[in-house]
Amino acid sequence: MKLKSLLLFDIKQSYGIFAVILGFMVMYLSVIINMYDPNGLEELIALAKFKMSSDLIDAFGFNIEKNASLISLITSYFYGMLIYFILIIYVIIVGNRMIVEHVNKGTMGYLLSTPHTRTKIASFQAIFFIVGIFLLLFILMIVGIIVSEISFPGLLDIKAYIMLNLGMFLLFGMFSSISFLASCCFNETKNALAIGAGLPLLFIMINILSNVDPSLNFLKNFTIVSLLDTDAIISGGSYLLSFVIMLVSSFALFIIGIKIFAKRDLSL
Amino acid sequence: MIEIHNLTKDFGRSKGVFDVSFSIKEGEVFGFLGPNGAGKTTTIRHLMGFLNAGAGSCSINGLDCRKDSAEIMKTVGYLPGEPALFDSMTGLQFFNFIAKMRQKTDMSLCQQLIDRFELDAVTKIRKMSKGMKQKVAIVTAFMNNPEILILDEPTSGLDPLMRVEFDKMISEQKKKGKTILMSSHNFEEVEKNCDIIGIIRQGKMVCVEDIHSLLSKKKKNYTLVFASESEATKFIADKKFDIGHVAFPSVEVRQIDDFNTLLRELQTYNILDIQSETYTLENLFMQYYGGTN
Repeated sequence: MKLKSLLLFDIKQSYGIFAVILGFMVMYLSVIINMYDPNGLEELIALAKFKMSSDLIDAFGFNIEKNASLISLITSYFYGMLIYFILIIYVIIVGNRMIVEHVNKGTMGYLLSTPHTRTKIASFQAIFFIVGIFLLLFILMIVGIIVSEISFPGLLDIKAYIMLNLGMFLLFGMFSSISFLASCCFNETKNALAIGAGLPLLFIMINILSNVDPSLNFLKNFTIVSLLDTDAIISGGSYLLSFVIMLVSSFALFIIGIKIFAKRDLSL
Repeated sequence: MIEIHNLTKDFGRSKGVFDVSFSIKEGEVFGFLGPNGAGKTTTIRHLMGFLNAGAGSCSINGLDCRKDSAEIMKTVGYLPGEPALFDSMTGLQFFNFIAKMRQKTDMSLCQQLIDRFELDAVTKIRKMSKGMKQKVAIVTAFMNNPEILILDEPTSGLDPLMRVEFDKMISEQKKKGKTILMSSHNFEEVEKNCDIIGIIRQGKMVCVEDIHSLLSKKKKNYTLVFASESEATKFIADKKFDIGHVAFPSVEVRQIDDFNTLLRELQTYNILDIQSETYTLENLFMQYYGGTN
């Protein structure tokens, strides 16, 4: 492969954050799976109510029926909010490194003084970025299935769980595409972060706010997080359209980012 | 080989380059001079394809510098004005990284250059001094034996010994027929190495000339030290030469184009010393750089 050395550089630069993020996710997910009690979740619900106000429980999406299924527990306790805050850190840090950091530092000048087009280098970085996120979620999913099967054999709705992870990947594909687009558009890291980190975090915060109180429910219309309808996935509702929307729009944003980077003036 | 036609890039506040044109033929060494902020680096950034020309065009080997940048880079060695190296790597790792990106993995020349410039290539670049980093940048530009060299202030930060070594290397490259564009503030360096000089000021080319013809046109000044004040006075009284600064018993004579005339005249005097003003392009440049805008 022609850009093998760039791949090695990317890996060397990001394997640390990859490992830390993966470690956190795996740890939380395993703990949450083991909080499940097939005989009823009264204890867990009581504990949550004891520790947190009901607003907070709503905000965090920790609402759960006492006879909820394992996947419902995983969805509301982990895929409802925790995962956003952990995985978004990876998106922000690595997204920033992909393009704008090289431009800001000036190292892009050396990358482009080699016989590779900007499109090629940016596409390569985009693929590295998205593959990293795919791997994080894929490994997480495998761990989730294994831990569930060990602790509660046969209780996890594996098909729904896979679709949940696919949906999460598509949603994070969108976050990544926003972050990558910002990375491509700016010469300075701080400007890229304002959009590339600001916007995804804003969407996540709006999602939390919209859960706090029914009167704030309209806010759901202002966040892309709503595109991932976890209820529909668990209950077998239809979610294909929103998956397609997420896939197409994130693909489009990546392409736009690469095009902009290929065309614009670089401050090198 | 390198062609720039009416290149214009307006950054506003009269920053940028305006209607810049020059060309460098194969095997020529072009010295690019001008005060800070005059537009040297901006021009070079166009050649490297980092910037879109506002108007006009630049090409290397007939290829458009912006659109065909990747193709052009196969034959170009580049030394940035402020080299932004991958500072988490050691020198050696960086050379290998760039070589692999260029898909030219013969590192024998690289090793020669490391030895030549006495570079400690196993140190992390982050820990290197400015001069060391500059050496890394020099090795990177030359290590794949490129046909064309684009060097933005290549000797900044180098110690005098290394400058001499660099000059030697440029003259070797010249003999090999390489085409070189180098920007510099060092007149001697340019004078020694370049065939053509171009001076840019406030974004506009004010002069592109063959350095040899420029050299031959130049009249020189000499400072004569007479054995006694009376002899000096007599010499001045003769009024045969354009007299400059006088500090008895030293007298400066200006604008001498035939040194022999001066020598013959001086035969009747008792002279202790003659100093010729070391010829640099400096005077010429000062004229172009100008104190005023």
